[in-house]
Amino acid sequence: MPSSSYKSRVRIKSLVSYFVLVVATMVALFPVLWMILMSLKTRVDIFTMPPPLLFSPRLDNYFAAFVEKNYAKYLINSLVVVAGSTIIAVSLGSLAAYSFSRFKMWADKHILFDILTFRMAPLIVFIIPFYMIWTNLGMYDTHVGLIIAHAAFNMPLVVWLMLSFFDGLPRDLEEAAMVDGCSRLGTLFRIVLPLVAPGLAASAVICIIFSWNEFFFAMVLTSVYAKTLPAAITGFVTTRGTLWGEMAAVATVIILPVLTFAIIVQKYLVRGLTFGAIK
Amino acid sequence: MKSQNPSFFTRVRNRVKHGYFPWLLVSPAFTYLTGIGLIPFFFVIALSFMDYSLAYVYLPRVFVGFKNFRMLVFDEWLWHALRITFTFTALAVGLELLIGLVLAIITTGNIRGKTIWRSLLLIPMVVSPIVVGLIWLQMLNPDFGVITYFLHQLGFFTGTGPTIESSTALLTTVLVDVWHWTPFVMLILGAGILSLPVEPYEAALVDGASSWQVFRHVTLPLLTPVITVVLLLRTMDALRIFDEVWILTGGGPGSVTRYSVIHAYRISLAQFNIGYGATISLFLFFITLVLCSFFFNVLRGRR
Repeated sequence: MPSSSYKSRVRIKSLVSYFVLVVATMVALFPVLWMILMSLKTRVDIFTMPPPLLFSPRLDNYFAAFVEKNYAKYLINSLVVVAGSTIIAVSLGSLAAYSFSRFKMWADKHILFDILTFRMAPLIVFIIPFYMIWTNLGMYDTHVGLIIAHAAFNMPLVVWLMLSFFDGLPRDLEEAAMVDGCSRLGTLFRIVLPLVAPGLAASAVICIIFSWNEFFFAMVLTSVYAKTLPAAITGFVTTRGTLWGEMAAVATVIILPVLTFAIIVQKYLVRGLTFGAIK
Repeated sequence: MKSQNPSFFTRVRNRVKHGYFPWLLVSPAFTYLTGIGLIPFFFVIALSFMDYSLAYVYLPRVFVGFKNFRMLVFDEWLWHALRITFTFTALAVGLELLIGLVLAIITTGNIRGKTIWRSLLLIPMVVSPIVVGLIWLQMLNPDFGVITYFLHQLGFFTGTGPTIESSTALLTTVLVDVWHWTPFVMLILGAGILSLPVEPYEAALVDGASSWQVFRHVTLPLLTPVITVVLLLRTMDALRIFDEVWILTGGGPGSVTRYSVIHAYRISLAQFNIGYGATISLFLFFITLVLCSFFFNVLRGRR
């Protein structure tokens, strides 16, 4: 029977737990909330120290950034690049993953290792040749150019993630379908892919998040026309000072969709971010 | 009988049985990644043997043999960059694992509203790295940054700004990285803890183990594979840190936070010394390669 000292120890422990949680949550949320609040402040309020506790929120910064400075264009660029690269990465990547999961192939382990390395390598290795090849092929500062780069960057992750989903799927169903006269491709598209739909969705979400947030490729491979939001946001840091309000407005627009997304698909985030290593 | 490693004959039979279907499925991705990954990679290798500067494009590319590699060995800037990159990585990943583990244990333990806490805590993780850099740049601004203001008021910090003082710049980047990625560690370790078997805990309970003993002798050993995955992923990521630091300090003040990728970037795309920049990035690539092979073995073990 638990003694009273045991009970009070448990209570202290849970109090400490809640205290740690509250502090950690405040630390985690403060910068994000600060940014969102900043996007609603006027220039004067941003520079006032100590920060005013009450201020009248305005949407001026959003108007200035997205309409006057035409950041809507970069928003559209971002959407185009995210959509294009995700479609390419998920479709090609999952087909390859299915093959790697089901068939023994020549050098399959080496290929899988190589594509993993490609994903984990510092991007600086590829940025120099990309920059030179892209400029020579006329792909510099085009949507297509950035889509190709992002898709290549995300495809390895899709392959590994989908591999873990396909490996977890019993083969009996496919064999049964083929015995019933379904063709190989038919089996894949009508039986297998619907069964791993959660996996496809998870891969897509991870691709979307990475592509949406990606800065390095976007900074080097685009300049004016195809710039995405993360690359364009640094434009507010000028030699004549930083336009913090507008910057915060754009940052909020970058953060919020991904945030909503991530919280919805939390369950798959673990699997996706560890390349399927942890389910 | 089915052997673990199929014999040559099984492989041939498989090939005949499946025809070229497997390759049909792989080939689009394979072609794509070869074109986008492998060709540029060979390009980099070729460049690393050349003297080539974008600042003097009218000069021809000259094959210089191992000159760049010799330069690499005697490049004190690079060794400095590597040293601080390893310091940064060790500090950041160490703190992330520690705090992440504590939070993972708490959020999987006996508390109310687990999902809500977890959702709130994972928010920093999905914020774009460049935005992370900008948020902290604003909050740490020497003149009107809210954190600098309170640090000054509370007397913890007397310098101009945490990112500007050379004594605090490295620590600042570490703490920003900890803020950004501890949620990742918490999320993965939390999932790991939830997937642990119940039996060892019941046995420990029967034996009357204290909660520290349970953690030390049950949770920690069982969790080791998951910790390994997190450690490898975080280390590979921290070694290639760029975005946040680029916007936060730009590698400065001086060269206090000039981490290896920033160094390589400055050499190749700011000084336009493409040949030598390629050599440095190859070198960085091989460091990652070692870690990546560990990670590959973990992934393969799971299959």
